[in-house]
Amino acid sequence: MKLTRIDVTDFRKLARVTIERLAPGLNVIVGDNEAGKSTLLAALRAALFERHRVSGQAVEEMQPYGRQARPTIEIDFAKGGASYRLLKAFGPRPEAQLIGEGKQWQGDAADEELARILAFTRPGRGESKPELHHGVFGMMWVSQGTSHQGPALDAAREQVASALEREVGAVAGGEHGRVLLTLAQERLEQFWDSRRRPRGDYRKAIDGLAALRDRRDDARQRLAELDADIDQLGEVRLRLETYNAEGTIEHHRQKLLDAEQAVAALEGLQQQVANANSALDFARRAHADAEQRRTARQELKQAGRQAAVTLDDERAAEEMRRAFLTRASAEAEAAQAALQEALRAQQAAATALQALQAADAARRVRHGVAAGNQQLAAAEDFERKRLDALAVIAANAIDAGAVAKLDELATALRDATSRLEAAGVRLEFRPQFGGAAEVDGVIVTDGELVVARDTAVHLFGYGEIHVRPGGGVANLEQAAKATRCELGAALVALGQPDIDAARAAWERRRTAEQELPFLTRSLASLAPEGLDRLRKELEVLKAELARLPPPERDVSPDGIEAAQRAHGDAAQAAGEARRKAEAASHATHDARSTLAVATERLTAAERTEQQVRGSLTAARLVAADTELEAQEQAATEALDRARAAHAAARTLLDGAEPDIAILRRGMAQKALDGLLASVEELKGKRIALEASLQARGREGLGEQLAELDDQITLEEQQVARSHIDARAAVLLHDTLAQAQRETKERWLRPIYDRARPYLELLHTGSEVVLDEDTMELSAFRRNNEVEPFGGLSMGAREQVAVITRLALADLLSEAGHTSCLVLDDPLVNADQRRLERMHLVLHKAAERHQILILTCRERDYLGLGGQLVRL
Amino acid sequence: MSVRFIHTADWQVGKPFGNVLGDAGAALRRQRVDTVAALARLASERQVDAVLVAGDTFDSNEVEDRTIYQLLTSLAPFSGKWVFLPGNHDAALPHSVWTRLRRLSSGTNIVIAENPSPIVLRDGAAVILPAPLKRRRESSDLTGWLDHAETPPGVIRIGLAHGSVTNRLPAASEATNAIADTRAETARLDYLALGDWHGTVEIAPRTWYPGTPETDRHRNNASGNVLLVEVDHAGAAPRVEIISVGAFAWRRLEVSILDGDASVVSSALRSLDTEPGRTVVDLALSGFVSLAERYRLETELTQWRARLHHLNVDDEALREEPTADDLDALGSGFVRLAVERLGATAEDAAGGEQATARMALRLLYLDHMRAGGRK
Repeated sequence: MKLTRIDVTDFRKLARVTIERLAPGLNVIVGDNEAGKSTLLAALRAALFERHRVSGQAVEEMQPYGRQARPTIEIDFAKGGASYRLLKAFGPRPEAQLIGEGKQWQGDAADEELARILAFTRPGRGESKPELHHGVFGMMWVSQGTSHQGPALDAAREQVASALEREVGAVAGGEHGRVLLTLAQERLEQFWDSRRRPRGDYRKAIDGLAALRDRRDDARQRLAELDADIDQLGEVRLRLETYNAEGTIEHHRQKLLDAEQAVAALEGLQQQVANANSALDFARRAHADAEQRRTARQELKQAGRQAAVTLDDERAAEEMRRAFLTRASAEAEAAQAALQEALRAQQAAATALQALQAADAARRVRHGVAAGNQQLAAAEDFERKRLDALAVIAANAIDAGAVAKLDELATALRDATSRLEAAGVRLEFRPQFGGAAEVDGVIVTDGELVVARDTAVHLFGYGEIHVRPGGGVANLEQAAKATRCELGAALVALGQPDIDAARAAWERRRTAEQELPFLTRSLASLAPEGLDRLRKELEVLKAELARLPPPERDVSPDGIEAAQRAHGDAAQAAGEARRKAEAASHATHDARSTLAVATERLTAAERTEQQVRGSLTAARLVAADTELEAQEQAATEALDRARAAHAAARTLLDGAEPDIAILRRGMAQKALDGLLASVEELKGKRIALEASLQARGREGLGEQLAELDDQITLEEQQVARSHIDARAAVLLHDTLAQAQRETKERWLRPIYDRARPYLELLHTGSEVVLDEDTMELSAFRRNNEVEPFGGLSMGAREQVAVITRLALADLLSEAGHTSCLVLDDPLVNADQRRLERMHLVLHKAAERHQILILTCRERDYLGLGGQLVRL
Repeated sequence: MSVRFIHTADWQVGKPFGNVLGDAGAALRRQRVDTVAALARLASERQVDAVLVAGDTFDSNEVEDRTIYQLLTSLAPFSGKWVFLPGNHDAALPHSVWTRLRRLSSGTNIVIAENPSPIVLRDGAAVILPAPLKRRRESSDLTGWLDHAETPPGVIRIGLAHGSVTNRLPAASEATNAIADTRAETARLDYLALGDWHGTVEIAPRTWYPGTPETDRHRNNASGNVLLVEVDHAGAAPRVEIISVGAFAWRRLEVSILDGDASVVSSALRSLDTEPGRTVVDLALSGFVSLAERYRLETELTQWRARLHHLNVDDEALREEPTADDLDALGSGFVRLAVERLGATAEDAAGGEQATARMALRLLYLDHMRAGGRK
């Protein structure tokens, strides 16, 4: 399509614009701001795409400002080799007229024919929108300020797609293909989750089958258990029937009966043995009794004899003891008389000895008093001396250290004095005329005086001489004075007038101290327990002496010794006599005791003999000796008979094998018990099994299992089909998706091929990238880097968008969808260099397309080489 | 004196039909009892001396008590003697369905032939000699004792057994519970009433399988019947009348689509000689169809599923071949590319994805139709 003439009247701000003879290639329509170039584009759109009878706001907007008019547009254009003239008037008297190909269309028919020729659609009502309704023109006509946006394909998609398909063959699936892919995707999602794991009904079917199999396994298991129990029931019944059929229980009952009878017979024999045993015991006891009675009689007789013998013996013994006593009594009396005599002799000797001893004692007391007096005197002397020494020590409180100290001080004083004298001024007074001097109040006549301090020497008749000793004398004097004072103080402390006195006192003390131990020891030796004790002892002695009679005669030691010997002999004789008397007395006593015992024994023997004799007599009254012997003989015979009977019974019993019979009975009993228990157990088992089988039979396991088998077979088929469906869903989706991917890569190539020559002019090696689904401009590739379209600069976006439109225009025109391009100031953001390049691009495109550039920048397009039109 | 009885077997009451979903399966299950009731009414009408059930009365020894009750109830219309022989499905085990049935039933007209001992019929005019199974499988011929079973002269001898007659049935059927094909002769039987084979057949002279009275699977031939047997006197040839009592027809159809026209399937289904609502159909399809034809076939089968009592379709052998029309219909561009690739996979026997690819093609076509069939 190419525009050749445009005539606009009363359209918005355009009162009247006529553009004659538009060039088939580039046209630059220049107008200052507000000149109405954008209005011109609006007028073109209204004329071509709006119904002439459009009303409402659409028409309001066409009206000139401030007045009611009849906006009218007239356009001449060529399309498909034919020329057309279109007239459209809007507002009060709307009109449409299309003339071309020798025909003329009016009104709605004109509108319809126009839509057909230019291949666009109209909205149901109201104003049309370029991107939705203007077909290819919506993409190719660009309003001011929108050239940086990619071409909107909505209305032109079908044309572009068919152009692409024409080019690349029928590789695209179109809308239908997309629907199929969507359905395949939906089906895929019915079967599989995002990680391609079964889901939904498919998953349920698989799980359901597994659950059914589990249930079948369970049912089989339970059925197997049921079958096993049925088999067991069969076995139990068989065994019970076998027991019944073979009379097993009766057989064992009979065996037990037999064994019990054998045991009963055995018990009879055992009773016989027991009876014989009792008889034997009785016979034994009877025999023992008879034997005992006879023995007792014999013993009684023996005792009688023994008692008589004993009586005789005791009687003899008693007489002998009596004789012994008589003799012993006589001997005792003699011994007593001898003892009395000896005692008298001893008394006499003792009296004599005592007299001699008393005299000797008195003599010794007198000697003692004399010696005591001497001892006391000596002791008292020592005591006196000791007290004196102690007094000396107490009076002289001085020790060796104090004496040494005094000596030391005296020496120091001497030294100080010597030094003073040496240092002091030695004044020699040699008075003439008997004069004298006075020094410190002391009259000095002759001699020397050492002056150690300032001293006034008054010389009578002369006056005074003031002596002032040199340096240090005063100190020496001071030291001497101090020493002297110290010495004086030490002596005062010791209570001594001078050193010599002190030394004498020290000597006295030392002497006393040396003597004191001797004195103390001497006193201790004489009066170890003190003087007072000594004095008391002496007083006691003196008192004792006072009590003693005056001495009668001298007592010789020999006399006393003889008296002592005589007394000792007498005492010894008396002791001997006492011993003999005591021995005789003891013998008499013993003899008397022995006799008493013998007498007692005799009495007892007499009593025993009497008792035994009495007993024997009494016993014989009951049974005579011969009678007892006969009884014993009879008992012995009875015992022998009982023994024989017992042995016979025992032999019988042993012959009957009692252990075996009892074992047999036990065995038979146990066998029967076991058998009955077994039968009871089997019966119990049978009842339990029957009850259990009855109960379980009701559940209908067999039916369940059969049903499960059927269901599983069915489910298996269904799941197998589901598997195929599910896999088919995957295969279908993946195959479609893969096919679409591969196709899309080829799909847009024609557009890229068209864009390439233009891009080469702008930026070597660059490419536009369109979205495969929307076919909208999505990115730009240059220097091997893909940048999102939205991320490009405004200038670059304008340039790329224009080139993409040109490429689409090339594609569409080759497919028969020719269109002119109307670009309203499309390159306002281009720099000078790019603008020049874009001029080349536009120039190249203008070889195939009519391009109308609306601009206010005349200078920008002066070099473009297009036809210039000024509004 | 003649004797008249109904010979039936293989009721398999309690068979669950779990592989038939929903109400259809429940109806099949219920019908087994209802057919027994019909049989009882027939016995009453025809005034028979007894009904002999030659084994497999129950589908299992372990059926629910409720199932036993239902069966007992269905026996009510006939008050004559019912003789039940335990078969391999309901063998007379130490504890079996018969143990429970005996406890649950109050009728004195029910005889359970649990032991190999004679059962007197019609005051001694006839004697039934049963060979019950006491285990599910017997390796020996249990009817052997019949040869030596003595009966008074002139008494009609009727054998009653459950198993496979040797030399007469397909080999697989003879594995267990064998019955000699000469037994009627060697045991001097006037009639040998058998069970186990589900089709009605006279398998040997005077030896009959009545078949199951209510068909329960597709491979049964001549099932759905009972036998009304009359024996006039000992030694007389029995008169056997086959009476149909079954409610459901089971049909197996194999349809091959040779020229891509799937209408043959509906034709085959229409040509069934049975009432559709009482027919259970197993349909095996083979051949090749276009995607469009396949879509149409599915639509028709959906309708048939509603009409028939039950329809099972085995389409394993039916292959879709996308035709040029299919491809055009599916559209151009990548869809076409995908169809071509799926088609190739469907043809690639080595790839192992044939079935999947075929299904994918069908699904694609289905989607295509769902999307309005537009290009």
